[in-house]
Amino acid sequence: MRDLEKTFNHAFESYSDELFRHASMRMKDRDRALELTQECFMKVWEYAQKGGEIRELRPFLYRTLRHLIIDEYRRKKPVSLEQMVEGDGDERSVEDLLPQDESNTLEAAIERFEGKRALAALQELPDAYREALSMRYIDGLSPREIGDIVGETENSVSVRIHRGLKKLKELLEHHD
Amino acid sequence: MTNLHNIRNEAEKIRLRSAEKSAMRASIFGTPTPVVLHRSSYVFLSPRYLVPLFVVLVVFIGGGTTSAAQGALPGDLLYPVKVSINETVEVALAPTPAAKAEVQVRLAERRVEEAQKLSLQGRLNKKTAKILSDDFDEHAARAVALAGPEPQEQITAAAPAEPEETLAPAQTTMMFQATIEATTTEATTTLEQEKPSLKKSKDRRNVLRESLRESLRIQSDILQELKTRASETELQNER
Repeated sequence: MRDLEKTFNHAFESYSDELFRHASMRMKDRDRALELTQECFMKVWEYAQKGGEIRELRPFLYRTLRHLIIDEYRRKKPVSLEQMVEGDGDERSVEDLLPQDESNTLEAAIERFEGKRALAALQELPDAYREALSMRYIDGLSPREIGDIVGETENSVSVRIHRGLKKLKELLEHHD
Repeated sequence: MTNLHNIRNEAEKIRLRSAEKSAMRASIFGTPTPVVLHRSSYVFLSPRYLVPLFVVLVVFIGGGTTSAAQGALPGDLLYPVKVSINETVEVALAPTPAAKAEVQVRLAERRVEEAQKLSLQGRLNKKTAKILSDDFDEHAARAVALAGPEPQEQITAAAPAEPEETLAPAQTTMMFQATIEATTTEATTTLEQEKPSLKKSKDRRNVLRESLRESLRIQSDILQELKTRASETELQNER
């Protein structure tokens, strides 16, 4: 029991900031992001205390947070659910054929913009892209890790990241 | 591996404030861990404090350096002032061995906080981590020694102060700060802890010692982790 609490204490120290950051990227409201982060830790802690099996804490925490965020969206604005799935699927096969380094070109293009602006633009994207891009570039997760968390294949995550980058670049250049 | 540093660096600024973090920790784990030892808010009213308080106020108003040093981190110009003047004074002004133990724990905790701050700013390297953790060990050892091996009745003022601790003023700064800290994170727990404090002081000392050990253990683990992380990043940077 002691050990469990200790492990969890460490997890809280190490991941609370990054989970809060992630929640902040998805929620417009800072207080709400705070509450969701706390709820996420409480849920996982409760689960762990009841003897639930958790193999790796970090992805588990992300998954839990993700569910909470989805619940939040459902409760608040059902419309945005359509946005969340917008456009994915049909062009997938085309995207797969894209040269690998096009993502790099996009990254480089976005990198030229000032951080504050780029982050603000990222927050304007539909949530599905915002989620994928935050996990990839802010939380530093690999496409495979993201796939595990959101329950999709590494490939479709890569596609979404790529498409998100494209949108982000358009958004930034459009504002110029 | 990961690009988009512009966004990443900007997003790094989004983080929990320390008050938010401790409040969150408190609601997740029930009590705030690291466990904070009992501190009465009315401690200033005892005559034992009023005299030094007065002296210290004079100095506090005049000497900004020591208070400015309070937020210093290792590597900052004022850090030596903080450690060698402010903190020595802090220990020296604690009236009883139990109070001295509390101060020692607080100082140990402060080393961990400093390590965390440095780590967040990417300034924690192997050398600083070593210094901080040595200092932590020293304070922790003193705290444990002061808490005493066996439950004892209240030791009176007969207990001599440690020789190297000179009594100097300027300590209210920290006391004020401690109280401020106390009001934010411990507001809830003070109430809970005040009840047992009404019981026999023997019980209280036992509880105190237990929570002190626990607190130090957790802190020490956190510090250890930061230390490992610091040397890992250093290795990566060398490559």
